[in-house]
Amino acid sequence: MKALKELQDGKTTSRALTEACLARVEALDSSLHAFLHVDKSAPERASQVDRSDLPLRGLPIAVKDVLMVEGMPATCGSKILEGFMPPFTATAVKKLQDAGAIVIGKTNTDEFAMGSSTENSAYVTTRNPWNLDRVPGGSSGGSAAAVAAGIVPAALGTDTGGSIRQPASFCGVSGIKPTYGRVSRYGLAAYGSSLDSVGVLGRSVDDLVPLFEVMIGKDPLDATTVDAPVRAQHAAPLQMQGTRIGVPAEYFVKGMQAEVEERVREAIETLKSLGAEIIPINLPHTEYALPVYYILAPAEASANLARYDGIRYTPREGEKNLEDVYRQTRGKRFGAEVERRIMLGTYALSAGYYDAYYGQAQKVRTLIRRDFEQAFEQVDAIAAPIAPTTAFEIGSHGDDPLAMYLEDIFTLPANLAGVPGLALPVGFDGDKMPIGMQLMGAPFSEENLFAIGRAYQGATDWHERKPNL
Amino acid sequence: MRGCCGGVTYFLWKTFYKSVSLSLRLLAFPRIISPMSLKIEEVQHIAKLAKLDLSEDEIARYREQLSDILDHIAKLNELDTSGISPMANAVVGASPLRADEARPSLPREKLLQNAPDAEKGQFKVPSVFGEKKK
Repeated sequence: MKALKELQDGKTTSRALTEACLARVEALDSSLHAFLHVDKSAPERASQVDRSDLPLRGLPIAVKDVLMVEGMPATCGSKILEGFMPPFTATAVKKLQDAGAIVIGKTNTDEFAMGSSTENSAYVTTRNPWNLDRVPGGSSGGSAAAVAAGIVPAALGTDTGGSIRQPASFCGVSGIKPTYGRVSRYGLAAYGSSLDSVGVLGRSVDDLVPLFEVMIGKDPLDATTVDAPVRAQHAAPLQMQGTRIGVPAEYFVKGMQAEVEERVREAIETLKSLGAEIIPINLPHTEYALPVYYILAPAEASANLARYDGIRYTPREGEKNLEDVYRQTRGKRFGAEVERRIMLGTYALSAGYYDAYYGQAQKVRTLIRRDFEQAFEQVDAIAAPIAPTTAFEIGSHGDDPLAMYLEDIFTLPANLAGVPGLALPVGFDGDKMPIGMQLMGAPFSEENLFAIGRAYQGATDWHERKPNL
Repeated sequence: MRGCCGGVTYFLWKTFYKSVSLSLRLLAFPRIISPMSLKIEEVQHIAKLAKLDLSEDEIARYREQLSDILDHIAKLNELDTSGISPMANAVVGASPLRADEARPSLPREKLLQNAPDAEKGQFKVPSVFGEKKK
């Protein structure tokens, strides 16, 4: 990572880098709207770690607003948490801070990470740095835009159904959605607890790895974390010879933007020319990922979001009695997409429908995971498109929730199976909008994905392209 | 890489996008099992269970949108899942049990700092039964 190397070599200081980040926020964010909160005191905190020998020694980063950082407001992009000051810091962020990272601010997100464009943020819509009339993707759109615009070298995002990979694709940056259980979810405002994962966005794979290595590991505060220490192979140059990469037929569908398929196929050819063996595979239950996801995620969300009741978190609406406070606070303060998903989940879990919806979806989820288990008996990684199109125009999906859900058809399966996914920029379409490809691996094989990603980025320069701002 | 030539390209892109969106939808859901429509009373009941105070307009809009989404979800009925065990969690190998030991919690004042109303170190709520007297 370039910024980290310069800090280590004494070519710059954390304070200087942090001040440069804030200056860039000042210059760009009135048109980009990537940030919901910027901490002006960050350079002072940076001064304190300047001469330390911590692994991240003062590296400035941004954090998606669904993760708690003590001392900074956390809104989750929602009016129901307007003014909320978290009493603790998320484990993933705490680990980065302990390693010397400086959080300069909180980035915009679809409300409670529900969306694919950041248009569902209750505060502001983030713009795509490659074209300000287009969305940056979502829900980690603020983090993706901040990295693409060169405001920060890396930013944290979260991925429940594609929310790191899809904005990375739309903004032409790299991003890692880790294996479920590899990074602690403590201090992440829960959306779909069996799907949520915390990860990193950066310009290149080299920018992701130093943060990833610090964030991972068992956390006593998240019972689903697994102790899987860093494996060293990604540090060595990858022997692509003999690496088997699967290409799933189900991810190249009629109707997707032709240029997306072309660029992804070219990227797969590049991997082949580097020595990888390309193997056609099938993930036969891919088409069921969308209906499974839109039962399970809303069901989990309806339970998780029950805590926003006007009692424990700022603010409160209504005053007649307790029931009135619940109903008015939630009805007035939640946005439309959040209300839709809460209602969908409530319905799917309600008496008489539980087995038909939730039960059936959990069984089909097993089938989707088996698809991946069988595939990883044949291949080391799977290469596939991330989104069927490049970034779309702001407002173009209007009030059509299904059109928005379809943006995620290629990213949902990795969350349902719990496997890691690495997003890499692989080119542009005719409108000069970025196109991404994802590499999916078996659980806890992020290091392999990084190695393949590094080999690819060693042979290409898509990750070095920058938007004109 | 092809260049972009302003309005015309953009118009084509937009038209193309709409057709992509439509055909993707047909592709993702080639068979729609018996169209189902939620009744207004059902939507009102769900809103009540979810403790959401919604306007009539919202109820009407959500009725349409949720019915649309449930139609697509019905695709899952195509699959025979007898003998398949449900997957409740993505973790393989995690041990969810920890020692049952007392440990310090967050300080009370920190946990109350966001409360809209608090008194004597506790969250304060409006009356549970009846209504507040004006």
